[in-house]
Amino acid sequence: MSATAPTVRPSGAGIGGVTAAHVLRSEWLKLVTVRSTFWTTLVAVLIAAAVALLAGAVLNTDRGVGEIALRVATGSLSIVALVMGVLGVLAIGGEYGTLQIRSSIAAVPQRWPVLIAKGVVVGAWSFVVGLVVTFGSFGLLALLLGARGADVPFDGATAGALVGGAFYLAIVAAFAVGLGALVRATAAGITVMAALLFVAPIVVALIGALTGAAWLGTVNDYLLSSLGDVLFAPQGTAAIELWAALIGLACWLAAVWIPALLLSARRDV
Amino acid sequence: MIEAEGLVKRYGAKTAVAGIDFQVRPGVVTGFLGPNGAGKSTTMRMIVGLDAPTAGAVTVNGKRYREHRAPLHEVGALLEAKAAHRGRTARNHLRVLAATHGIPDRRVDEVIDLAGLGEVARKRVGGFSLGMGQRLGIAAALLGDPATLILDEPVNGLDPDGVRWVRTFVRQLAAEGRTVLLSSHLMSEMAQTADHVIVLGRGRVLADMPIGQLIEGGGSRVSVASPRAAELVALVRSRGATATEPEGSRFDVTGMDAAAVGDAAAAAGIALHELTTVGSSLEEVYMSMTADEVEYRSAAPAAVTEGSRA
Repeated sequence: MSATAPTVRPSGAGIGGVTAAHVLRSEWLKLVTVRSTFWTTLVAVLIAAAVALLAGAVLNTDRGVGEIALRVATGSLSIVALVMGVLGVLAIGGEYGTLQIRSSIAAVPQRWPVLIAKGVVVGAWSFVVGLVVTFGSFGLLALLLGARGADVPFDGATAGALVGGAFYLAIVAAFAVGLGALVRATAAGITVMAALLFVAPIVVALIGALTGAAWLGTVNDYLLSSLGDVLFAPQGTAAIELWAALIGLACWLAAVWIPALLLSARRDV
Repeated sequence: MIEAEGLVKRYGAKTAVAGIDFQVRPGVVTGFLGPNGAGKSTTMRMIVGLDAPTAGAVTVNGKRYREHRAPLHEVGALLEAKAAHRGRTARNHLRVLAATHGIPDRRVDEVIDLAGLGEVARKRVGGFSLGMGQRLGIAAALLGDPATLILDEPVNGLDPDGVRWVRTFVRQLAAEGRTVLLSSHLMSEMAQTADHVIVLGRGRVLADMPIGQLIEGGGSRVSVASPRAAELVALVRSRGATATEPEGSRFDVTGMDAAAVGDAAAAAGIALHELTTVGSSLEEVYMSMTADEVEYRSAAPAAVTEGSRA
């Protein structure tokens, strides 16, 4: 260790300090420097590809495939949504599990910018994965069905539904980040995600069938997964209006993000 | 400059820090010394805003840590050896933290060299030894080139080489005019590294003084060996000093310094075979000070005062 002349730098010299752009860049680096991001993304793409390949091979093409093609291309989204939910929970739960969170908060002691930036970055990543998944699935399906002589129409409404599917994945991932920040544990976060996306619809449908209560149908319409369906359903087939679905999704986000942000300000880490 | 005023931290019914005031001044290595559970780590965590004080406040360079625009430039902290995602490489971990302040990759590579992490910079943190984890923590603390460094048990788990490295490094940082606050429960470490000590016990400040003064406060004695020990004992006692009964040719004198004992012996024509000033060690002072404050006292209190906690 060589001796250095005594120097004390003026405060802040040469350092930009914490800004929104800096925190976003930090979160982006976090996302792309762990392997779980690539594993979850690979799994998402493989699931979508498998569904498209299978459907492309076996789908009955006799009576036209327009709406069916869109349904199949977005059919993998319910499972892919869970994969993106896992990615979102891991992005924050991994920080608590490894004490990385202490380093993160020492660097950005206001805390909320870290959480918001993480939600934005993970959401954006999931949106892009979603575009690959939906447009890739549709393209693959069109190719396979085309080879079997069926004509798969592509129009603005179809493109809108495919983008809507990608948007749903972004919302689920951002929701999962907020949920992970709230429960501060990966296992608990993933369990809740699976329960919301897969168990809740079954339970609600089951109770609805047993009791015949009509209001349970409304509850079902506003479950996270059902609201997502509205975003990529073929035109005119959705259970509720698009604007109502968007408000519902905003409420789901608020339900985890508001307590997560309020608690993050005062919890010891 | 770190200033704490009436700092209190309670976790439920348990009081970790019971209202402390202290200052950590620039250019001085200040040591937080205390048994486990004395409140050292809790206090450090409050300084950088990881834990919120129950009462009181602590400021860094005049502001609370979270109010600084570039906190990494104000304070670098090593609080946990491996506060890093296990799946990320050391270099990427540092890049992630650097990015929050717009610190360029060039500085990341600098601190990797400073901390001696060059060979493992591209390995994942999960496989790091505790020693490498400490080095990574120190590299992270240096990223913003801060004027103040806080190091919680920085030699914990290090091999002798690592211990020497940290010690040299801390002294160098202080020589550069930086404020350094480090904690340890190892007396020998403090004696060799710190200029100033703040002794904590059960969440209270027991002493806050230069390390030399702390040791002096424990008093010193003169160890003497002479073939005519009995005569010399009588002589120093006649001059008002206290002397132990000779064991063979040896005895200890307090209340008279080595020069006075030597002069008295020479004047009486008594030969001296040994004449040594023995300062009480920091360890002795610390043990007597914290004897009542050790929270996790073992069944046999003697074991604690043996000084074998290290």
